[in-house]
Amino acid sequence: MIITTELLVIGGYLAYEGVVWGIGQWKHWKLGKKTKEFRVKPELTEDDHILIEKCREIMKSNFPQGIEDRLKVMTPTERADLFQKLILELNSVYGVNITNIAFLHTDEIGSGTYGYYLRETHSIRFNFDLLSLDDPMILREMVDTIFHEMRHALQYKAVSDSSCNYGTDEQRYLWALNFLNYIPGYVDFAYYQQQILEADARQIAELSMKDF
Amino acid sequence: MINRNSTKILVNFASLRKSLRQAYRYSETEVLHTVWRLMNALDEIKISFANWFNDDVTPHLECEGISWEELINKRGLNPYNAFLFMDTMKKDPAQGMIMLKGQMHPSLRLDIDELRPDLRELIIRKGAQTTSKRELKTDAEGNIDLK
Repeated sequence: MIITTELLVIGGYLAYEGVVWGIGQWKHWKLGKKTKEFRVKPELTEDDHILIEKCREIMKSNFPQGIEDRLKVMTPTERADLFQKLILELNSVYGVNITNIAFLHTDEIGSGTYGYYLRETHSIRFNFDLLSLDDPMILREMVDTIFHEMRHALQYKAVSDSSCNYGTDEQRYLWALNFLNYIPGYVDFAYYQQQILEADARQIAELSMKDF
Repeated sequence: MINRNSTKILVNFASLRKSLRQAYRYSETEVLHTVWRLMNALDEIKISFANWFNDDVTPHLECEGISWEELINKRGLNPYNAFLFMDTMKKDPAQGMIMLKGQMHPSLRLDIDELRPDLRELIIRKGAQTTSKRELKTDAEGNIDLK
């Protein structure tokens, strides 16, 4: 009798381990398959090349001698005004209409956060305290943030607005898939940066600002 | 790679889930993602994680001069996120160093209902996403009618 009970317990435990392992294998396969699809290097479309060229024209007219050269002689408020002007100019390039632009202090926006796009209010927020610093690398990152966040606004428009014809079907599909399965930075900082929505926004910003 | 160390993580799923949901307010999807990533991490990471989670042993993980603790204290990652990032760094140190400079912003997650109709249909047709909650209607007899 005792032997039978022990065997039952061991058998039950092994069966439980088997089921748990099996579920893990299945979930691993499904999650891996899904995440792999949108963790790809973004390819530039024809529309992207045109957009980058127009961004570079705006960069040239606003920063003819480079980013640091223009911003270092400005007060923080003047820099904020320039950022607003840039976004209003870039609206026609990106095909979005961002008019709600806010500058917040670090304790409101978050330490280490340069800025972000908020789709709920169709707005872009910037870290005013970082914008107030004279560190050239930080100022450069702040300008980069403009192009990066505007790109998120465009990505959102492309997947939510039927009248938007930007990009290719493949590009919009991958963006949509990623939006539905977005990996937040606070969960997985590495995969957050590798997902196409972020990799694409970074790429556009880098190419728009290259050599400025 | 899924191996015995992965199974050890999986059998702690209930405790992991509780910790992630309560302490860090992760959604169910985020819990699954974290567990899946841990199960596929390098053995060194899995063993360190198991020791930390079960016995509160501080991991001595380091890559390119960056330690697990520095990822938490200086970069602001939570401990679980730090394990995942350390795993990525060890697999590709050069990329890891570049990613370390990146910044975070709020989640851009969308619900399927927010997609334009043609994309929504494509996603559903490809089986990449299930139908949204709003589409789960019940008939007069209480049977769920899936669209």
